[in-house]
Amino acid sequence: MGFISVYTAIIRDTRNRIYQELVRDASAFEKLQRDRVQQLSIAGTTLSGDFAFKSLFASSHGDHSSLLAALENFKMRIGAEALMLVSTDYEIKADTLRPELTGVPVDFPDLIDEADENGSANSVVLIGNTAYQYVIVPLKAPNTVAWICPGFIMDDALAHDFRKTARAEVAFIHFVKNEKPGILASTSEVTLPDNLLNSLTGTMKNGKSNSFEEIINGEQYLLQLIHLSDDVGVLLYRSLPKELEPFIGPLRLTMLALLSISILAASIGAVWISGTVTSPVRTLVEGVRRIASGDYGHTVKIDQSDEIGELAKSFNDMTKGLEERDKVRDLLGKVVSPEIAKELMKRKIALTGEELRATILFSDIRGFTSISEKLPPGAVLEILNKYLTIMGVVVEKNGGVVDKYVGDSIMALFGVPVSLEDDADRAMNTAIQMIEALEEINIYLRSKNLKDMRIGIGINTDIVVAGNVGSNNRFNYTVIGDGVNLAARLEQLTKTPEFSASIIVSEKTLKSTKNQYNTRHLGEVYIRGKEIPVSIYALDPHKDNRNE
Amino acid sequence: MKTKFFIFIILLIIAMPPVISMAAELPHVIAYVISNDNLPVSDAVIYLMPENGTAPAVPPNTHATMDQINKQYFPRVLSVQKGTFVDFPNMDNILHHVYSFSDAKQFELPLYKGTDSSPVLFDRVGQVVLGCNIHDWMIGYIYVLDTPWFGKSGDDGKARIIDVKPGKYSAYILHPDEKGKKAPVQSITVADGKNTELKFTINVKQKNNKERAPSPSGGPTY
Repeated sequence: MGFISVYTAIIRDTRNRIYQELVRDASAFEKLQRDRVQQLSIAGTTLSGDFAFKSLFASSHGDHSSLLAALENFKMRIGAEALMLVSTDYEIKADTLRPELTGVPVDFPDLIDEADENGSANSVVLIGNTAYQYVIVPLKAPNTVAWICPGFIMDDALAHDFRKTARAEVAFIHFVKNEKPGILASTSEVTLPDNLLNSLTGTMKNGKSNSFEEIINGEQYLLQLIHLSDDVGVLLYRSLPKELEPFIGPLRLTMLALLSISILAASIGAVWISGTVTSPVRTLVEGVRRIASGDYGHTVKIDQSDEIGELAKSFNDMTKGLEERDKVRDLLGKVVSPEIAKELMKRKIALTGEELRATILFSDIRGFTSISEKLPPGAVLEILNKYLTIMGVVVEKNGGVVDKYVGDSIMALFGVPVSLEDDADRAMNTAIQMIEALEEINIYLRSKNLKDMRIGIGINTDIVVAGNVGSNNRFNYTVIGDGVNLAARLEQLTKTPEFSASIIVSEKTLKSTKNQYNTRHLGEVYIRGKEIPVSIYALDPHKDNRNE
Repeated sequence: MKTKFFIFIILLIIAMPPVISMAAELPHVIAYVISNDNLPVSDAVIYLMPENGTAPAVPPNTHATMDQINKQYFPRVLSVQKGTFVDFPNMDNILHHVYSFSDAKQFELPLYKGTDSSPVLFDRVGQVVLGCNIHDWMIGYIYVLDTPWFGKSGDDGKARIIDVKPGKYSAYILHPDEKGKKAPVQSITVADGKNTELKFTINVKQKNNKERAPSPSGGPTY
């Protein structure tokens, strides 16, 4: 882009400069011409007053040789290239250019008349194929007895002479009516095309110096035409490409160099940017992906002191935060069930509760104390945790939530915090599966030479208040209400030998179930504060009661 | 007898003057010269050539004068009969150098002052143009004629040729500034006892002021 605009500017400026210089050179040529004419005029006039010359002319009377010899002498004296003597009858008396001529009509009778009228005359005239600048002054003795015509030739030498001071090529053009103009002399070998020459003819009429542009031999030329007379003109011309050459070459080189440097710089820049921007960004993107997939421990290692470095720092802080949160949730999930933990993390932790229909399951190990007495504390804990884990899995497998472990007791919730349609069924199934899972633990106990474990389960369904119970710093998402107490009581009732039931459910629960279960009506219990007793049933875990 | 002779003599004496005067009184020719624009032309030379016989020759040692006054020739036009000596007194206090390359008389009077120059004999018929070698603008004309009967027109355009013998003549006109078609010859008859008048119309070009000395502010430029 830069190259193009500079290039265009150079061409435009060069063209303007050439144009102005051509105009200036044209003026210079015209002035030079005028000066030469003036010079010749003065010389001619001085010659005209030369008594010796007057005497010679008066005495010559047909002695052409003497006259010619004298003319040669005077021509040298005045520094002219040509000297002609013309009679008052328009006849050439002698001509240094054409020594053989005498007594023939002069080539420019109109000019003689003009000189007679105005005292002198001058013009560029064409004799043969050559142009001459002639000055005509009278030979006075003391009246006009002849015309003295000194002149100079407009030839190649003159053209070259002028070219030394001008920067243009010079050509003398001869205009002929209804014909293509001819070249009289020129400093250059360049052939001027016909269409150009013909177009020049048209301009001669207005008599002013003219500027042209033309393509010659594939090159753009600027030309200036000077009118010297009706049929002779001077053409100054210069080639634009030639003028531009000294600039364009180095310019191209410079531009090429600059282009290379800028490409190189751009490449280096790209590499540098890649190093300090692209690569770190990629690292960050990778880090984000890792985090999205759960790897909160991942940090990015970007050691830069710029904005990217700051971004990396913030990123690492963020992952740390996420990691913390994750840890907390994880921890929380271990303290409460993951669903509750998720629920707690999701909602703003509040102490407000809500009334929900829940099915509460309580379980307890029969005679755990006696088991624990016989074992070292490590083993006790081992067994207990094993039991709690297995049972916890069963609860969660059935869509329940382990509310809390109290020693060897498990309190599980179904329908809280999220209610599924068949909460009661799921509680029932849980109870059955818990009894079955017990076998796994008992196998382990037997291997340790320990007595089998027995558990009791109580299930009730009721409207309860669910929420976070506790203070701001320490709370537990749980349910409270009479329904809860009844479930716990039902569990205790499994100790009653008469019932021989490991699972006791309330009628409300039974009524809430969708499926059929093998149950035995055990009777009614009275709840404190309530008049109507509650029917309770034993759930047989063994007989085909599985409803998955 | 003596008385008759005496009376004759007295009568003769009484009659003499008229006879003498009649015998001495010759007619003049008055020529009026105008230009194409009907303006009177001065410096025109009119001369008469007798149609029969020849004109009388100039008396020997006839002199005429061409002065140089104020760096000009005076008169500008002088006509003389062939054989006349013309004196060229230099009335200016500066040197002049009279010359002429005319066929009728080629001569020069190199730098001189006052009346030091000798008179010049003009013995050929024709126009003599005088110049001054050191004052390019000085120009004078001498017409050398083969007849005593000539005159020059004044500012009123009139030329007087006096004492012309009656007879038939060809009248010619000459003027240094005549251009183009020359005025034709006229035949006139000079009658006894009265003056003859004739008129010439000639084609005269404007007298250019290059024949003046340069004024102090500048000079004529060629």
